[in-house]
Amino acid sequence: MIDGVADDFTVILAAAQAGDERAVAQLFTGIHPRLRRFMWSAEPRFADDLTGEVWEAVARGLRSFDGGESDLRAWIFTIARRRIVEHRRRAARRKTEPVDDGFFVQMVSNEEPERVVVETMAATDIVELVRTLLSADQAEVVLLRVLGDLDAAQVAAIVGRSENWVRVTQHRALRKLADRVTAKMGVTR
Amino acid sequence: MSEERDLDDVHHYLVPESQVDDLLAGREVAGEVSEGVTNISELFAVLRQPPDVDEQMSAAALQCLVSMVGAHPDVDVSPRRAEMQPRIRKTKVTALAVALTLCTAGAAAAATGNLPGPLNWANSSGTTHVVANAADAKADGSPSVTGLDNALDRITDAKTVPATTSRSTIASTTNPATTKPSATTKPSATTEPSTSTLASATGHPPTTADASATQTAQPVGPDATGPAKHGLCNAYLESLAKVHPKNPDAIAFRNLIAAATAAGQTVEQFCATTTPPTTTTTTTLQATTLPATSQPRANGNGNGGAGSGGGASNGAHDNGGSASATGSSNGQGHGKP
Repeated sequence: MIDGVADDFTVILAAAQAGDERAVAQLFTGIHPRLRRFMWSAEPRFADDLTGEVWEAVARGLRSFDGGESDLRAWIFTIARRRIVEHRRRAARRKTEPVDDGFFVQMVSNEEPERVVVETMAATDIVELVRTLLSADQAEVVLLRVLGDLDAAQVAAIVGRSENWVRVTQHRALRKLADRVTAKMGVTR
Repeated sequence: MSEERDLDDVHHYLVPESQVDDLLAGREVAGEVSEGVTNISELFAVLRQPPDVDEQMSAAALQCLVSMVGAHPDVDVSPRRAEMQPRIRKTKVTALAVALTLCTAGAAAAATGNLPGPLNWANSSGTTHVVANAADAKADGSPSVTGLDNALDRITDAKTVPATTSRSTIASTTNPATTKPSATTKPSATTEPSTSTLASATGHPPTTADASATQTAQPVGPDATGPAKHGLCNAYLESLAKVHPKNPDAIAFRNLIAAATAAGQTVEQFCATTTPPTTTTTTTLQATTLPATSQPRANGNGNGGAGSGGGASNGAHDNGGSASATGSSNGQGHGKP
């Protein structure tokens, strides 16, 4: 259960589809932080813009949505992943890409991500750790499962792979995380 | 390839398969928990933490989304229907353009005096009618769907008016000014022109040819059951006798054949009963074609329109006189061939 979403999901969804502000708020605000973290893991510099695009698409299609809470999350994260793919395609067509100052600061940082995690333990740092230590596919699968609260079948549908592929990928990702993080945390403790 | 290397690299802290789902789903991991699993569990717990203040959705953004949810009603438009919408609209616009062209062409012909009186009236009225709607559509700078649809509906209505219904029925409700009879007739001041009398006052009986000609500007030919019957029969029989007959598909001959077929006769049999038209005969025929609701005119005094009905032999019409056949004996016909 995602924070802020009540048990009676059907009632809230119906009210949200009817335009009730509180119901919409309850649906959206519970998912928003995780959605933003997921977008940040994929495109840190465009996370806010892409998150806004996702919510816009969700708002436009909410009236026609039909399903449970898990289906709603799967739907939202499906939109999110498509937005990321579209964004990367657009970026690939551009020969130059504007970057802000924070990007270069981040590049010259000598801090190891594992050390940052231990010291601050912020959600965005965990996301950064995951995307740094894991391959893109592994990070995507792990974050979809954790942030989206989705099962392997739902993640498989979102990424367009088989469920078996998702299970293999997530297992490798967890073993890799366990190895790297435990090694670093053991040193710093 | 890289994942195979990953497997080779990661072997210190194995995560049992049975614990993977618990870890990823945020559930308490069952069984013996290794240090690696504990560390990952802590990391994922942080990922699931409630949002910081800067991560929360702003009230303004939420308000915007709420308005967007309410601003997009769930319209059930099937993909096929949506795909057809531009085509339907294009067809309507094309139909309007064709109608405008036809009406404009008819008006131009009427302006040059190439059309008989009743057809002149109908086309000019129709042109005014449609152009007025087209102007409405452009009034706001963009095509008005309502105006366009109304115009198209009226055009459709005009085309679907039964042939036995006088066009003046429509005219009396849309443009009364144009229903004023021309100088060919002078209705009595004491006569209240009803719908049907307006039709007769145009100097033309409400025949099939009249109604259809005013609607589509298609050639209708003479009425083979009317005064043109004699001339048509003569022309047809003469043509048959020739080595190179006239076109049997001509509209006039088709009307004659249709009239004969409707009477259950051959053309020869149908034409055998015809007699040369006289003024008296014409008047009688006109009287029989008038609606029963025609008001009598005490002093009908009109000049028949030239060539009304398009027939070759029906030039001697006098509707003032014909109207008097039902209620007055003072009518005087002065037909002009």
